[in-house]
Amino acid sequence: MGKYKNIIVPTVVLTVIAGLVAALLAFTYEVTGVGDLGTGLTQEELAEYAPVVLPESDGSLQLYEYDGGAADLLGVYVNESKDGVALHIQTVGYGGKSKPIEALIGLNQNGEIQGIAIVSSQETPGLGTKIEDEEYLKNYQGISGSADSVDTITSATISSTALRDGVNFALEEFEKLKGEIFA
Amino acid sequence: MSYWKTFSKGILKENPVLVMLLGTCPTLATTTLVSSALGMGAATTFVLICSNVVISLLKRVIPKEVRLPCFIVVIAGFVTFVSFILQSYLPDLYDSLGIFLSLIVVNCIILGRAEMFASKNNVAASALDGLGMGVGFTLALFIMSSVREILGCGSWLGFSFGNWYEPMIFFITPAGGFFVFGTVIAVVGILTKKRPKKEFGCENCPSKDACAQKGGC
Repeated sequence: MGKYKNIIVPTVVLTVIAGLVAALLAFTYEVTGVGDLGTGLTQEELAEYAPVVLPESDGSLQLYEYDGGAADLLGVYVNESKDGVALHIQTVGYGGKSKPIEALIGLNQNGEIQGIAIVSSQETPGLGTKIEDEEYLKNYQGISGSADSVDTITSATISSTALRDGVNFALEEFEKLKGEIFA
Repeated sequence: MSYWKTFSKGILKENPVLVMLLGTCPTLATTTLVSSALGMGAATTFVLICSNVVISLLKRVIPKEVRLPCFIVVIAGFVTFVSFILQSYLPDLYDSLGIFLSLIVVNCIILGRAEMFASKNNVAASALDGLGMGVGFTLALFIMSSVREILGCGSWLGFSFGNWYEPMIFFITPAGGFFVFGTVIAVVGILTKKRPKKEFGCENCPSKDACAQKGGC
């Protein structure tokens, strides 16, 4: 009897509670559709970012199927007139590898940066989020080859360095794929 | 204890953050901006009320040997539920809370209220206790984040004061967080006229109802 009360009942109760909670969570997961939130950009997001990353061209961005990219290159988009490209990249900032900064970087045919949009970031509010400031992102406009000349931000050193590394990565990737897109 | 007292004790007299000094980690980490502090307060209050209600309902079913694992499973369930909801409907808030949303699971305020209050009281009192503690937590976060955002960012709830004010970045760094935290605790200490006695007796301790030590601490 002692064994029943001290070992079996607590085990059964804990198992039942854990099972119930897991079942309810599985149901919530299905209903909210959290699992379907993929890494690609939606049409609405592309329409929102297109004027920011490629201000001089009009029209929408289309996904370009490109297989050769590194893991941090999440997607390649080209505009309608085929003279501008936007690279969707991720770079590790203060949020760590599980919460990277995602940015969309627009370049023209000559590899000059036209504009940058921060798609998502989990940097510290008030500190790391300063990299999302439009005035700061304008410092990158017109840069080609390497972004090392852009200053980082005091109080957002890790986040702004991460963004600069991400931009450098995008510039390298651009060199690899420009022959294929602008052929 | 009347229902009003059950609710109101969490706001000042037994404020979980400023008097009991629980949940310091989210208090320091999410109070750089008022908007994320309010989001954190709301999420924690929701989890606190729900877990208090469920644990109060289950208090006769759960054997005492496994009560802590059971509490944590219930709390973790509600936290995951909140994070699913925020991720799919309020992604901006989800982004700004980051890892601290999932860390609500190990927030000692919630486990503390489950152990000290909900497992010993009826459902209505437990829900009120959770609401009071949650409001107290949110108010503490609101005060801290207001001071830090105004002094450290030169804005409040995202509204900038303009360029004439040069923000003191110190206040949104972790060190500034501790500084503001200590100052707010001191002000609350003055307001509640709580002074440390030469011999710190049990009657001054906010946890005296739940404590089994009887002076042995």
